[in-house]
Amino acid sequence: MENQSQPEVANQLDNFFNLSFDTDARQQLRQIALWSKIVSLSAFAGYIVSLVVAIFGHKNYSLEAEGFSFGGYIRSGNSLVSVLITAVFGGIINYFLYRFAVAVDEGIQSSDALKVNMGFDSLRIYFKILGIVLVVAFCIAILAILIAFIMGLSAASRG
Amino acid sequence: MEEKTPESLLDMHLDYDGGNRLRETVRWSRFLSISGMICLGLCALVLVIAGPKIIAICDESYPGLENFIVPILILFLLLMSVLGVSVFMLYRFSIMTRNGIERQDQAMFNRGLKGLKVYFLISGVLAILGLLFNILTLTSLF
Repeated sequence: MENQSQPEVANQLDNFFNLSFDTDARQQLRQIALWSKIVSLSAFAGYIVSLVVAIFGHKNYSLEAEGFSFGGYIRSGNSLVSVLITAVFGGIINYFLYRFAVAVDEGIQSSDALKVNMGFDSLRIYFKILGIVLVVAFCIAILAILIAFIMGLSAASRG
Repeated sequence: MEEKTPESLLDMHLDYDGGNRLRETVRWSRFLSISGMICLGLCALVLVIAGPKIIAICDESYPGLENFIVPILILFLLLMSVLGVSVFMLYRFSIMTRNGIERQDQAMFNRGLKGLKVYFLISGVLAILGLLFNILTLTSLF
């Protein structure tokens, strides 16, 4: 009976790295969860504020004539769309960061390694999306530089 | 002192699933940190090469800006250095954690987590400052 249970335990232990979330690691993870939660919540609040600013517009023209002064609030369609896109994408990205923070916090509090590992999965998705966004941004920037360069060359050849 | 029962030993261990997820996390964070370093380097290069020209153009558009150039420059350099430290910490996290997992080195793994903590701490402070700036914009609206 003892001989039968030994390989089972060995198999179980084979599934683990020789790494644990010890006291120091738990302390670090608790801090990581706290600050990542702050980052994600600040980002969510920031997107809401940006949306309010974009929807209610800003005073971008003011006319004064014969003692009359009036200003106008223009709702710029372009800025609203760009803020909306940023808020949606940023919201999705920061949702994963928030999920990471919550899972790690719960995992540490309940000493549940599975939850901590699930948290790391959310962090992986967060970094992955950020990486993909960065690659797309790099491509757009390079394209913009190339187009500006070609336009500059054609303008110079015409002039 | 914490008593080490077999249950507690198995309780909070990094399993292979978690380890593999962490490995991929580390791969992406390394990519992000190296890209961040390149971006910061390019920004510094642009500032050094085209700095006087940018200042001249800004001065033309906003007369009287020359009085604020030194504080703006100091603020910009401060932000660049803070971002530099943040990106370096992310790089440290990726290197230390990967090495910690590969060598099964607990101390190195913990140092990697410390790097991630500092990265999120800096990000958190910057996020709060950004939020305050956004709220300031909101209050000036009404």
